[in-house]
Amino acid sequence: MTIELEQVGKRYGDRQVLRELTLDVSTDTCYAVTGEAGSGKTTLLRLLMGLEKPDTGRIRLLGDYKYTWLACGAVFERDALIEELSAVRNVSVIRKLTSDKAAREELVKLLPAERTEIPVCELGRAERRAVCIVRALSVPADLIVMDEPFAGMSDDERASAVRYIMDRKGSTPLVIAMRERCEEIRSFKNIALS
Amino acid sequence: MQRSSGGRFRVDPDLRDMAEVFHMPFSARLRYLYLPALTGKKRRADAPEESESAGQPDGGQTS
Repeated sequence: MTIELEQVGKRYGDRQVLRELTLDVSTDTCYAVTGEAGSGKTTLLRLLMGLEKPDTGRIRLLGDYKYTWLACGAVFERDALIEELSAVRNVSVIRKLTSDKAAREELVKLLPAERTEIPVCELGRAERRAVCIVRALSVPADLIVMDEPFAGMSDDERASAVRYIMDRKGSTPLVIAMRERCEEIRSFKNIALS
Repeated sequence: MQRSSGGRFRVDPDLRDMAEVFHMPFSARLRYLYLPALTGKKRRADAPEESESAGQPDGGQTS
């Protein structure tokens, strides 16, 4: 399956965020979307997730794909966690087939076990991002998108998170947006926005 | 923000996007998104205002 973006443009009011962007997102490929704040990284990810529609150009699904929508695993820029729930419940509540036990088994790969049971509003920035990463990878997905997934993480935490992502994602295409490429994702195809 | 200027109760836009993207079960949406919005329960003290109402998903703060 390939997601084809052809001459895509997006504007908010007077501000042109994306202009004539052409891009193919293909199975088994990882992409790093880089650029300064305001360059359109989040907008591009929202277009891929179907949360926004392009003002110009088009986005198509190519290949043998029978649905009109994509199943996405996503890390959102602002977490989008249910604050009063634990990390375990935040992961399990989004899908009926994911048990608390299964969620816990995944979360402890990135978090101390005792931190998985307290409300996420009590977690630190890096811990919250880890919960978001585990949640994104806990659903069957045609595409995984992650918006600044390593924000607040130390170098070691980021390296562990990247290993976890690469272990879990299989052949699903992955699109990560970051201001700058870190060492762990040097091999990703770069999409530089300005 | 739980109540729009028009007086209708509104779900946190970040959680609404999350629920849509993940195809969250309706029962979970009802319990964790819609009912808290109806009862006016706050997410966090520092929860962002409804920036999407300005037409920008990130409120224009970042890309």
